[in-house]
Amino acid sequence: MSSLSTVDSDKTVAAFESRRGTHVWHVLSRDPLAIISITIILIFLLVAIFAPVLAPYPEQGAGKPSPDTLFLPPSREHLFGTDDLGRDVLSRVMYGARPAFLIPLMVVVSAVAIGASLGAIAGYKGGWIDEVIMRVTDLFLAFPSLLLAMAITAALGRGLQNAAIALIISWWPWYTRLVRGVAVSLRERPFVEAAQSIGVRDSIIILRHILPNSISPILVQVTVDMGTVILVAGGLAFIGLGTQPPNADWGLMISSGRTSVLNQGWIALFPALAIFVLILAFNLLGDVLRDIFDPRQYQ
Amino acid sequence: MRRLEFVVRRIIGAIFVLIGVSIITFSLARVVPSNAAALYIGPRARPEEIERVKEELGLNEPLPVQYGVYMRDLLQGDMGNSVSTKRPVTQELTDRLPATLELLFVGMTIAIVFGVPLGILSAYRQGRGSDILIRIVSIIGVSVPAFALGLLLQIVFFRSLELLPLSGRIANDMRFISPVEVITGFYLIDTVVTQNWIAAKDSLLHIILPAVTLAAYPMALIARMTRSSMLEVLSQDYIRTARAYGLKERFIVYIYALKNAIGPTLTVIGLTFAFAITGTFFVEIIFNWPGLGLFTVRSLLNLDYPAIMGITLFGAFMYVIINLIVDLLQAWVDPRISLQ
Repeated sequence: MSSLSTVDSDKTVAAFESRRGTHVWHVLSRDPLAIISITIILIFLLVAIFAPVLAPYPEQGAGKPSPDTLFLPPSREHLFGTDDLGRDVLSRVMYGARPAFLIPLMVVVSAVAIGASLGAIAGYKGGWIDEVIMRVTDLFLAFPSLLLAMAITAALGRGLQNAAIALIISWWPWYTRLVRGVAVSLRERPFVEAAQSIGVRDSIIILRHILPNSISPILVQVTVDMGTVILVAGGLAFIGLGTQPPNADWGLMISSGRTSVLNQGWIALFPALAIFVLILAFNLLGDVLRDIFDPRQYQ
Repeated sequence: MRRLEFVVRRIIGAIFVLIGVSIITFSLARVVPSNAAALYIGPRARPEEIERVKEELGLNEPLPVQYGVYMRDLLQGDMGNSVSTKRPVTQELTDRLPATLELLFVGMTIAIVFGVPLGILSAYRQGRGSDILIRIVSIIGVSVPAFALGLLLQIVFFRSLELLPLSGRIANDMRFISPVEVITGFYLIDTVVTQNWIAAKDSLLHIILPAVTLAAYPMALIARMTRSSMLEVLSQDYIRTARAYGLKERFIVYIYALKNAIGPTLTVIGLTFAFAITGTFFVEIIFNWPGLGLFTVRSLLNLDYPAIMGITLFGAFMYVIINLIVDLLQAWVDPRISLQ
């Protein structure tokens, strides 16, 4: 049984290695869906970075009310109309792209750092260390992530930073599982055994051999997760636990535009469109990457 | 025999997970906050009250003793009193549970009834027009946040088409016209049992938009998973053999292939059920649905700490139970699982 599974995972790891690097770009650059989604993500990213320059009303985008222009429908001056405090919705949507990228990036990067190291240790060391780490991981996976994030934000207090911390706490276990799977399949490979036999320290083996070989599956998972974290972070902001006013955030904008949605639909619909398009782009890219190499085979 | 062993092992496993879950919620409730007692009575607590609660919760005792107190209260169904309503949290939760469960069941039924056949159709017609269309719809389904979809549906079906009610569980004037006699708390069941057809129709109309909003994400995920596992099964040798024998195509797809492809779909159904628990929160806010979600959000905004912790524990409990049921179902459908 065990010898059989080693052969299998050997093959998949080898397949991974040969497909890494330039090959990925080659496949991506020929896939129209991949090109469209990467373009959309890059446009949103540029808007997020250069929001103060690009926004037609940067001050309003940052939150300054404008009492003379309440509830204006979309027009040439205000392409997306204005909101309940008279602010230009287009500028708000542009500023809202900033937390939309910032929170998921913080969450995913930290979750990968924590999850990957624990997963690598668990899978490589095996034995009771593996058992302890994985049982704790299972525990955190036993919570619906949004529920855990809500409880943590409630305990820590509202705000962007605490929302990010809460999401990290509920997200790292997924990466632990993923990387552990890779580590287990690598543990008995000849190059790892060779390193062990010449007395290379475990920490060096994990850093030099286990983690670099986990990069591809992690990358795919990150792409898929970006969409999900944007969704969940938007949800936290929507219920008032994430970004706080007057800062712009799509979830928050949808929440405050909700009361006037039947008459001034543009206030909620444009941020809703923005969050939908960005999540869609990440999901499409994730799908394409998953077809190239499937990270689920390690779970 | 092996199967029984598997069932017992899974149940024991679930119990350990629940104990772990209680330790995490205990830490969130008592250890993480700098002043748990103050949180416990709410923002306008007087110092002597805080002292009293500290004593009551045993917050001056060592942590293991505190956990003991916490678990003793919990096992007696005591999760403290809600700060805003002053009623026991357990009571608040059980009062609102039927509304949420009704929404959850109707939503998940829609998701499964449409998601599974769409996934099968998509796999069967791989690469053709209907497959591409279903795949586009399902990727849109997993990308659109419930709070955005709900608003869109309200605009279309309430304002533009004037077909369906905007929000709520039943029309406000129904209690004068034809009041619902509450038996189970599920309006759809209660009204039918008491043959209150006016209220039955009204509550059915009210649940359509929220249930569809809730169903979108799980339906899309279920369709995607069914498609990919059906594709895998349809390419197997035994399917080709069945075709060579000249068995009816419908028989091959729905009986032979589906039985082996349904396992991963069951897992996804379990997972999405969990998503749907928190999904109901957003749907309830948008459609003003008087269930757990609306209560949760109100508690979060009022910093109603005992209520928040009660909901977290309850949600995790439901999640663990659902996952257990899915695991057992899976072992029943696919005997290979319990042999592993």
